[in-house]
Amino acid sequence: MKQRYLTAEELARIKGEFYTVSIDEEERPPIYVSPEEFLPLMKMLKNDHTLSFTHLSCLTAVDWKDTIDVVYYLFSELLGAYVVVKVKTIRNHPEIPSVTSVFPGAEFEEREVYDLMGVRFTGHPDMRRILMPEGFKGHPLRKDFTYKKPAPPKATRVGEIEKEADL
Amino acid sequence: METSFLSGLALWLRGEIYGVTGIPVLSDLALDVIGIALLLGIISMAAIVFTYAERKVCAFMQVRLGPNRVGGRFGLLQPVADMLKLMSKEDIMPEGADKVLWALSPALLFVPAALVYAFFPFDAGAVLADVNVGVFLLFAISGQAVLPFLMGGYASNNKYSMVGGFRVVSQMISYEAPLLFSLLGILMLTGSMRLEDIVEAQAGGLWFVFLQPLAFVIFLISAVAETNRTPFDLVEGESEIIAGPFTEYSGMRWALFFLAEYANLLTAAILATTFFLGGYLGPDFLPGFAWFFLKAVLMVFLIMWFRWTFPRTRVDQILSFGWKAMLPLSILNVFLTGVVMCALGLV
Amino acid sequence: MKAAAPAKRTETYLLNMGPQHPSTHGVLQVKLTLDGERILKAEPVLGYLHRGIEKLMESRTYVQCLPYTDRLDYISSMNNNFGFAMAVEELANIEVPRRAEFIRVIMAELNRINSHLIGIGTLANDLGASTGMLYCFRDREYILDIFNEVCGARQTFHYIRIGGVSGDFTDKARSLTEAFLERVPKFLAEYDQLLTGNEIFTRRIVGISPMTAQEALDLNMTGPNLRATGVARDLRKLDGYSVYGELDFAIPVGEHGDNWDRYQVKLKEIAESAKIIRQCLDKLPEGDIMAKVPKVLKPPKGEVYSRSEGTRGELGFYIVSDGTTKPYRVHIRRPSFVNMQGLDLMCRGMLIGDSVSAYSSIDPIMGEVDC
Repeated sequence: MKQRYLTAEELARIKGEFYTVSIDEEERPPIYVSPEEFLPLMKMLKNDHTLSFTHLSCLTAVDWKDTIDVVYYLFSELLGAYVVVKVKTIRNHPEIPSVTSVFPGAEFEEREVYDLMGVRFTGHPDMRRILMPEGFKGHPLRKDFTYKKPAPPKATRVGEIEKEADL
Repeated sequence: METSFLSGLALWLRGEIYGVTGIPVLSDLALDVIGIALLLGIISMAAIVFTYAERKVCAFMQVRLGPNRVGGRFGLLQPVADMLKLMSKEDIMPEGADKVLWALSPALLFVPAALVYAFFPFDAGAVLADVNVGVFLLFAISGQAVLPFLMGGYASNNKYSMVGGFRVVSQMISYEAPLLFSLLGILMLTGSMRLEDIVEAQAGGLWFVFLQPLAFVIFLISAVAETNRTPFDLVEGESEIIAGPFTEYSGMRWALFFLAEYANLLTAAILATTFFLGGYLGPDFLPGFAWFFLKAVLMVFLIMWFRWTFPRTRVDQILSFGWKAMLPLSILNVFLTGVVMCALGLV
Repeated sequence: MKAAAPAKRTETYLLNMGPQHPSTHGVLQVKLTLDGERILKAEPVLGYLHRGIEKLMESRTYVQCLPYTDRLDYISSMNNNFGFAMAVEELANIEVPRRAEFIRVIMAELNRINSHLIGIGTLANDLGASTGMLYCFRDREYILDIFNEVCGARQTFHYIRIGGVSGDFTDKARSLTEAFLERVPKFLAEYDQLLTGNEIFTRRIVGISPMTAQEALDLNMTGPNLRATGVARDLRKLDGYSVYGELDFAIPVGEHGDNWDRYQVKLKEIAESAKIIRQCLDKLPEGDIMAKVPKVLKPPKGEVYSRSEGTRGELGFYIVSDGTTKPYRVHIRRPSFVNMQGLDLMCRGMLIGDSVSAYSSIDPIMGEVDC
């Protein structure tokens, strides 16, 4: 089942309004945008009456070894089409503005991306790990992640482990 | 006093013991001990029979088979297996629990549940403690059952238990009132608080369920609420607060709660039988106590039927229903009874 | 001097519901901030069932990935298989035979009924009516028999494969399905008697945990939870994927977005799904059930996001291919996970007893939430 994506003309208009937008010529053309212009672009995509991409269908990130791309698939019921927005981030210090001010429902998915990919979302109301336990080191979905088995807890009498945890 | 099989048996026993010992006080005492043993036997038998019956009844209503492994095709030994399991379980006390209150709670709950059995007329003349303020004493004692729940809930050092304890207090207090008011009409009609008098007043087939249908409905609903069973099982509320005050109890301590619960269930059934269904009265082809237990078991089945059909109510709904619907209705019933009695010139 | 009377004050307290709790549908933990019995805040704590399926898929071939989708939402495995197979087919340009498409839709809809039955049953059970649950499970058995007939499994089917389905829809499966379709109106009427018409049940769910359409849309909710608020968005209609475009069915919607509407939407969707299955049985063409799929599947470089209407909402698979036999990155948009965001809103201001009905009316499956 082939889905419709925004056509070149429609994309060209978006490109005209933002400085940092670049578009790849692909079957499913993604819009690349810099973190600075990312929020205005999302606001425009959501609120523009001719576009109205009101449904954030998918929010995820891909580790390309040198950069980490954060990927947004927005769907517009008005046009019956998707638009793909991607933001490249620096791998050592990935940080982009949170989209929760535009799409409040992105809260958990952003936390998931932070947890598994290590992308920090500035302005997120509650930036904590969501799936991995608190105090977990590393971000498992990164390509260079290696899992080190933690040493098994020492066998102690009942109650001692809790006391250690209290300290 | 009318004679019946049970009271006849008691008289004969008394005579025999008197013949052996020759001291009247001793024979009375011995008879009381036998009576208490019998009642405890009834309570524990009820727990055993009802666990099995509950499983089978619920299976029957839920298109299942129920116990069918232990003790033959019908799983007749299931209660024994349950008992063995409970007895062999480890007794765990939660850390930070109030030890004295925690240990006292199940015992204290069982005492009033068992004590009220002394007042029940199982047959004509077959009452362990024949007091003329029976109804009053009965509810005074059973009303005490609120405290152990709260004690257990508070002492367990567990929030679920605590919430359960709070729920018990609010629920049982709000249903005690309509329960008592629903019986006032009967007390007005009989003019006595002695349970046997109330039963005898229903002789001739004119049971109070026909004279006081509204009171019967109110009584039944309140009694189910008092025994904390579905649809009023907020106290345990398995899917909400796990097991309420019993959450932290295990093994035999939990079994005591369990025993008290089934004792209360039978109490509710017996009360309904005594007050509304003519107690031990019935056609002569069966002895009085047989009629008594037959009616009681039927009532137990009815309450079980409720449990496996209805969902659970919510805590605010149950309270507002108790105070805003049940209590006014029961008072209305008292009023109507009074008006009718005046009109018929019975006063 | 008169000492000022100490001001009356009450304290809130925190109740950890779960992960071990009779009604948290697996291992959901909810931190409830309570004022007496009233809920001030409900915070779901996730991750107890996190198995890293997305990471595991990166080191498996596309064909090997498919069984992992069974374990996402283990109640509706067929729909997950369906979604993943569609995504890979779109990526690798595989045309699925028409017979296979119809069989897929039949299976997906049977699974939707199965899942909704469990949803309704657990709602009844959480409200204390365990009999309601067992009636639902009784009727679910008939669906499992059909699945058992077509693929030999009652759970984790791995039946819908990339390019088609693994086994044919036999005559026996057909007669089982037809017998089941005849049962559907009967058991729906039975639930109406046992649950819908029950005064206590009605009072427990009408007007509880309401949600407006705007709130649901803001929270990105999909599926029955969104439709209960009155938004008729169903991807089967909107996208018309597979053969859904040719079928005639309605989208049941609610009005107030409360637990009652969520329950009613599920009941009505069961009837609609039965309608779809009936049409598919009538239209089922003869032919192949499997497309020609290369033994070693190497989709071209690129990425795809393909979504379908899972039982709990929009189930999306985002796959990045680097041209090898293994996906470079797989992301699964799990409807339960996104819908969990609505929990706080649904629980706020309600009582403890209502929180459990909120959990079961969101109907999360923790295997999917935690992935």
